[in-house]
Amino acid sequence: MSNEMKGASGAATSAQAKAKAIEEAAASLMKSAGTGAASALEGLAAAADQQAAAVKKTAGEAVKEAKAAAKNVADTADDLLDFDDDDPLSATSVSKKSLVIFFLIDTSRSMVGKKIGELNTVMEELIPEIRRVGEADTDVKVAVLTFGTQVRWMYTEPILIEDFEWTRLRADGVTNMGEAFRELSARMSRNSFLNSPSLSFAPVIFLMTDGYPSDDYKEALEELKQNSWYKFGLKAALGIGSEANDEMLEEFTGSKDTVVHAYSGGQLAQMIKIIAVTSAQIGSKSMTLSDDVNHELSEEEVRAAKQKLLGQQIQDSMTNLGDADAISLDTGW
Amino acid sequence: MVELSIGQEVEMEYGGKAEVLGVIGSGGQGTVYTVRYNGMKWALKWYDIDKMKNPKAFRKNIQNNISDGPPSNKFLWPKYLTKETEDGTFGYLMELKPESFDSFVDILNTYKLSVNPMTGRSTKTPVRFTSLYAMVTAVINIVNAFRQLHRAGKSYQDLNDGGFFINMDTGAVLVCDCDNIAPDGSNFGIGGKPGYMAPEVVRGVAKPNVQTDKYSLAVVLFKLLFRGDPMEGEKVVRDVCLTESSELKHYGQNAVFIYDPDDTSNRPVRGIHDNVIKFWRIYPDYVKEAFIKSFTLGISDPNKRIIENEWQKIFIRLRSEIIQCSCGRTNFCSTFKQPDSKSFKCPQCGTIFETLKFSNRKNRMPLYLGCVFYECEIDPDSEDFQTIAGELVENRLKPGVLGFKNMSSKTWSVKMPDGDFYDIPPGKGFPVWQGLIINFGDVTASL
Repeated sequence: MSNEMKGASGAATSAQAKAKAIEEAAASLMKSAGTGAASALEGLAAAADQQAAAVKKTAGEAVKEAKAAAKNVADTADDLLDFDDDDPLSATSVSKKSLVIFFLIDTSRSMVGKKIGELNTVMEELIPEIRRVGEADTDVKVAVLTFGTQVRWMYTEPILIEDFEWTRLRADGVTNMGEAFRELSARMSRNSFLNSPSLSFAPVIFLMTDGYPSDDYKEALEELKQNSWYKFGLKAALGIGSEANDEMLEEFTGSKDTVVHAYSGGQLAQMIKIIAVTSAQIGSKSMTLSDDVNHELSEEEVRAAKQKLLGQQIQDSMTNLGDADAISLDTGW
Repeated sequence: MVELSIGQEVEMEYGGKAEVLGVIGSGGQGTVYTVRYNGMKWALKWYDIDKMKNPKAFRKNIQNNISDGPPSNKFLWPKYLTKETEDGTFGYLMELKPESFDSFVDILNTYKLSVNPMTGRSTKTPVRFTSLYAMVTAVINIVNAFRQLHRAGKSYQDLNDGGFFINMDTGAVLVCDCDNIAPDGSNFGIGGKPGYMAPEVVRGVAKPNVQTDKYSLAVVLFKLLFRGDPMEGEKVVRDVCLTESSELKHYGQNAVFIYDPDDTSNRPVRGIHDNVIKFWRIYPDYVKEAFIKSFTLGISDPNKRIIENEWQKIFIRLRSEIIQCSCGRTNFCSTFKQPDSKSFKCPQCGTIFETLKFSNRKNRMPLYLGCVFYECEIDPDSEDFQTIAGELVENRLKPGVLGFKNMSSKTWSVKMPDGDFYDIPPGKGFPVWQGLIINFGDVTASL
């Protein structure tokens, strides 16, 4: 595990310890002070915040965690007053893991016309298809980052797939992919887009582009590769039309298997669906690692098993893809 | 994989064709469609044979299961195989799940999604048990289904939340996805679903069998009652990102139960695991002890896992300990006050409940209008946990006077307020009074 993650979890643990102390104090206060407890709780929460900030100057999230914890304590205090609190039927949903699917989409001028039109339609159709993949285990969220001259998120934070509505994209400008990598790296953090208090699966990162970056992407990609979420994440890339550079995309995903190329309109739609659905399925679930083995598994053996599986499944699906709809994406614009 | 399209016809093994009507869903092994065959609607599971190690052996196993038939009517069992296509792809037909049943996945989610086909928008409908009775009955039914299966010498192999449908009003259970069921000791490639798999399967040192089924069953029961993961606590959450190696660690090599009495390193975390924290307080000790045993000793020693018969006894007892108070509070008697060893008191309205002591067990059964006991509770040779033998009712002619009605097929001998024993044949009743003794034959009960 990375230092970044360890730091975050350390902060979370210390915040939990504080929350526990607050809870105990609150419980005794509730007994003696009755309604005064609420304001006392607020005071305690504020005190906890100050403490947390002082102890963990570097981690702004410790404060955030403590606040969230204090809120939970307040909620629990409310629950205690409720007679139905011991109702064995009043369950909430099981605690879920979360998965964020990042779509990185090229909206440079070369995408104008059929490409962006088709992409928009496919994405609209795709959202309902991946809605059920999380089942009872995982909350699947979607974040869309577009890059043309400007790098822009479709929404200011990842949106739960059940509530997600696709906003049609328009294409214009140059291909600032490096800039997009920097923005992605900044947001793929426990302090930003990956702030679920519960467990997360490593994100899915799906890049779609029809050309070569206009900016110097190499340095930005090197930076991105240092991000642990990226390292553990499931990466896939789709090159659209003949201009897209597969080598560059391979650099991004780290393996040949997870890069595919769509040359025609029909292929584009099929490939986007295959990659998105397959990666969402693999990313949102734990893997049965031991299917094919008859010996004690080691950590080394299971590392990046999901990325390997994604590569395999994408390649399998590609061999089954028909070539029926072979109007080249680069003609007829 | 070869996907089927709507309207396509699939040839069946013994003639006839099944017409594809729509898609129900996709899983790890293939896709399930609705089809029409011989004028009836069925579910067709169509395999992705590319993902199978040995499709021929898998098909043969289903064929054997079809000819053996289901262990009971609680199983949505394979009925007919399709012919193999040129590349060897095949599927099987099973009955469709009735509308009145909800999937275990939706139960754990506490809601189901229905998608409007026109707009693609989804709406949520709550899914929850309508009574505590229904929930405990569902648990007994699940346990019993696996007892029947294991008695038939087979193991389910892939026990997980996708494998059940439950009627939320009655607690009736249907076990689906029966295609991996195989004679104990055989395995046709399935490993199971992470989180439900026994640690030795996660680690790669064992293949699914009856013993690993027992572990998975304990997980299913825990999730249904406590609405959380028995192995996901502080130790796991601290990892933040659940990578492949952390799964191997937390569910295989170093799995720690969240309420392991000797290892507090993995306790549930408030704000994340609130269900478990709440429900663990509610359930009586004998239920919690069974889970503790399953998930501590049972982690490394499969022989220490709770057997189905034991679970069945535990939950039949739990069902008999539900109190439905007239004030609306329904809960296990362990959450009621106990003014003395023979009665319970509602903490909400103060109503006192007398109890009945059966000669074949230590615990006492609380009495309230409408409470029932079953055949298996009054006859040591009976395993019938579904047929009601007696019910506490109000006398139709004397309002306010409560008594038991004999709903069994046997005559009981009952001590009446005049001090004498009288025969009470089926269909007749008798009042509940301080000196009541009921002789059922091998078992007696007294107030």
